[in-house]
Amino acid sequence: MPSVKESILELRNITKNFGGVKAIDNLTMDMKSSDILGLIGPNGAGKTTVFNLMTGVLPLTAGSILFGSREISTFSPHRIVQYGVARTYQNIRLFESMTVYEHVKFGQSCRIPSRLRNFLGGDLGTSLKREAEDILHFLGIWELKDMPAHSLPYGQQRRVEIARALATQPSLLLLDEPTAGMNLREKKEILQIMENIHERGIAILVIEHDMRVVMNTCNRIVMLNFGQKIAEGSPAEIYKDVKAREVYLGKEQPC
Amino acid sequence: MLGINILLGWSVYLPISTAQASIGNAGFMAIGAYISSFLTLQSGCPLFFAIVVGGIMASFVGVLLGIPALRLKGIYLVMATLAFGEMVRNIFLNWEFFGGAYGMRGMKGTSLFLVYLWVFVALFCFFLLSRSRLRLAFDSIYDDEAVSQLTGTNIVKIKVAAFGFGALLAGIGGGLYAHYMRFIEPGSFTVLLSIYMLLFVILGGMRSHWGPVLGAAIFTLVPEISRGLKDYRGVFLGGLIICLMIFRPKGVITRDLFKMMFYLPKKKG
Repeated sequence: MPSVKESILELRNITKNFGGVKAIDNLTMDMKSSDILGLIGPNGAGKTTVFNLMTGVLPLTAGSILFGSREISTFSPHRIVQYGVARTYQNIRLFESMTVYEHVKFGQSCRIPSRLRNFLGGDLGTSLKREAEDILHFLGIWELKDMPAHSLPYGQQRRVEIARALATQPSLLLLDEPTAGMNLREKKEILQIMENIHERGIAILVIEHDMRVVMNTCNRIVMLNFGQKIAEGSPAEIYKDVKAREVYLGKEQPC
Repeated sequence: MLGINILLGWSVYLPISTAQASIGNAGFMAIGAYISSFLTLQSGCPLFFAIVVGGIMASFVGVLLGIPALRLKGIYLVMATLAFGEMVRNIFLNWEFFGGAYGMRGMKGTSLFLVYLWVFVALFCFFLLSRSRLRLAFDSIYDDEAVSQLTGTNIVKIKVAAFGFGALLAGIGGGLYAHYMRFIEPGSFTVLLSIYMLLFVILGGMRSHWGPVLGAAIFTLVPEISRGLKDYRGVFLGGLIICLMIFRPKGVITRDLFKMMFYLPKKKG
């Protein structure tokens, strides 16, 4: 486990307006590279918008995003990926015409400086191949590697998505509701995967609705409502926070 | 003619494999045809070289068009490329330097060998492409552009490249065409020709580089074979297109077809 104390990600007063609607309102938060940070909040609170801002899909209205110590909010999406931010999506988005293995291979290709070199193969080729195999074993989808990804069951598709994200060698992984629509056993498996990823030294920022997941895996939680941060702290602190309970936890049945 | 049509089919296939439909490729073809004809007629430049220059000029224009066209999607891009094709045709129509409406004549020298040399060179490039990671990038853009970008693809670069190389092939095809027909006029490069190119790809199959080959073959050979039907040839061809669309809506040659051909026999044996 990395013992780095410095923050890997800093959001400084970020604001995003959609027309007159303030989707994100002056949000400031930071993340350490040893964090599994949970981002929670009711529907429409702006959680996915935060992801979209961080990955460069949407431009910021105001504020700045620092990754490492680099300002990334003006970069185009593909450069942000190259610097080490990878994500998955709320609705699974896989490439229809690719097999599982090709997804991983494609994820790796953003790190290859020149595409011409692929024809040559060589050391780079073998090391990438070994790494891809490693990722597939790691996520338990090795046996499925030659299947078309979209023909797999839902739970496996999630894993392919995570595999594709890991193949870009991120130092920060954004997971958008990784356990949505899964049964208890599948959820436990995904949690295990998250912990294993974390052990590899990758920081995780996860959007999640299932409080059991958040309470058990995250070491810190940020709660959003109407684009504003209303609570922040360890799971236990959030659990006690009156304001947070009012907004969210009070309606749910916590573990 | 079949070889040229195959090249033209590929010139549309390339942009299509990055989800950019173009019906302006007759414009690129015209650029290639006019420039190579000018070079061979006026400066006695060798044919091979003239065709290469024509292709490169077409591809240069293609990149110029590709950069703004990237912002357009689907039907809007189709309209933009349509307008481009007509624009090019009208420029040549009004440009006396290139013979205006009379066109240019007297080019010669295309041999069957030369045409198929180009076809095989292009085929070899497509073979390399189909085995490279670049194909994955193409596929990913075809399937989901946003996710492709979020997995680290510089989609601008790849889409413009696909568009430019498509234009290159169209330009080369145009040069070969000019020296095969020995006569070109602006009327040779109408929208109808662009639509034919698109049809080669759609009917043949747009997810494999063999698709345009078959599409071009169907469109070149069927009108010849059905010559006996006389005036009803057009009806026959139209009916064939409708049938193909009904029975093979994704084109005759799809990737699943290859899988069936190559994997099934192995399992049995």
